Amino acid sequence: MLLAPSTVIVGAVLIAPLGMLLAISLLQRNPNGGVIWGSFSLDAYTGFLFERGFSGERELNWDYVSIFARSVGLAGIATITSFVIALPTALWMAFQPPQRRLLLVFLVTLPFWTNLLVRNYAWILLLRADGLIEQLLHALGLLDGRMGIIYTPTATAIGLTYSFLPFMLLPIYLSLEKLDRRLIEAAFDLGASRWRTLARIILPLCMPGILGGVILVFIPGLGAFISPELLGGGKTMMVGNLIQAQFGYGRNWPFGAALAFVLLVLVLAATYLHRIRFRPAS
Amino acid sequence: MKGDLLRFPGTGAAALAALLYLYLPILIVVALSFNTGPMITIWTGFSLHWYGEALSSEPVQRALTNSIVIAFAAMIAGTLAATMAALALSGTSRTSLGRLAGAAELLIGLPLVVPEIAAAVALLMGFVLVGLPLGVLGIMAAHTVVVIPFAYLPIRARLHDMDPPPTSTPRPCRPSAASPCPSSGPACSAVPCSPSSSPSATSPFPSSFPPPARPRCPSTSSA
Repeated sequence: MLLAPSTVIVGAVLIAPLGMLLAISLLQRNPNGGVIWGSFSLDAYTGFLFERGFSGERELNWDYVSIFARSVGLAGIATITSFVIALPTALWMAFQPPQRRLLLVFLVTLPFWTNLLVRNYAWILLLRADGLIEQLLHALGLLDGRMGIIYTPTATAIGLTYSFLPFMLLPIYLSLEKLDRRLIEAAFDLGASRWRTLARIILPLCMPGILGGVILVFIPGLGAFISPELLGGGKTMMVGNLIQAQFGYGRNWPFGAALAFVLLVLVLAATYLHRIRFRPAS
Repeated sequence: MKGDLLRFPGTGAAALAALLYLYLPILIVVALSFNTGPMITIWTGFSLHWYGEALSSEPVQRALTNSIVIAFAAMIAGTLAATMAALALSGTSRTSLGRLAGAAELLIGLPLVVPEIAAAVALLMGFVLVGLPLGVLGIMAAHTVVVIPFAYLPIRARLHDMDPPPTSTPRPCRPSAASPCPSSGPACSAVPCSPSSSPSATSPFPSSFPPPARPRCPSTSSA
């Protein structure tokens, strides 16, 4: 009985709409907006790969595939960069005195509570032409002219990394903190160097945390639409923007629904693989 | 000596850089909000002018009220639902649910993995199809769904901690009036903190968030 509220809410406000989304993706598009009820068509899915030529023949179209590929690429870059930043930070944090560790965790969590729009907007101020970073570089004489980073995929990647860094940092930190210190001491006692201990003992043991972080950064990165819109200037479209556009000016509900569904399946597959990999041995 | 061994050279500097990276952009926005002039990048002096402007603006007030109302509603509904679910899915009441418990946990964790944009357009379509007007109520419902797993995971982790403390050696059960300990209960099994009984097994999210002050179960791989 106690389970009812949560399951009913998730069922009614998430599962049911996702079911409707799947249904809509299989309907025919109404050219005036909306869908034609009672119709059935796979156009939304074939439209992902093919477009209709002038005489109605099918032509391969890589545009949407390349947007998906770009999303995977940018989310992947954000995952790798945030891992590179998070690992040494988590290592340092985990081996601090307990009292300071609590404070540090709080400090890392705090930006994550700040509105995503505000955080991305802050990066516009920093990266844009004549923005703060450019002014600083000019003042230091390190650069003349433009950096040219704003409204490029690089800016989007910076924004994504920034947005999701705490998601990488916290799981890695948690698994490092839980790690049995005696194993590290034993490695040192047996003559292993610091880096060997890191590579052979610490990293393997905190792999669940690392993979948790990878999933937590990669998944929201894949569906991100704020960073590419604000920092990418809407020029470097990601799947999230493409989906959004289908329900806005694109007015192609079935196609948007199909895109959202493909994204969902990709994400669920990634999560499922992660679960199989870490299924308890018992 | 021991402390020195656990210190990795360079990580301190890296951590400092990471914290700067996390905080500088936000601090800059805060600092610039006190700027006198209308240009965001040109500092012309300190003033609270824009705060007055924002607070006296009617649309800003309305938006702020909406945000607060929606956040409170989602917080209360989400936390209530999540607490009930966590109570149902921990301790002895979990064992009575059997296989259903895993399925319920999977369902509750789902909002974490469904991409925001997919959930958003699905809800939009859902509301349009059912004929619900788009507005504050819809946003409240959507936020409640998103909040449930975030509330569920830490509550569940704490409840898990409240079970008799896990020990590395199986301890014979001593039934007491306060805590009846069934012979098959998870509290006194040989492996008290196997991942299958922790919420992290069903979700990539850290099992306790924010992390507890004291170390919890040692990881199974190190046991």
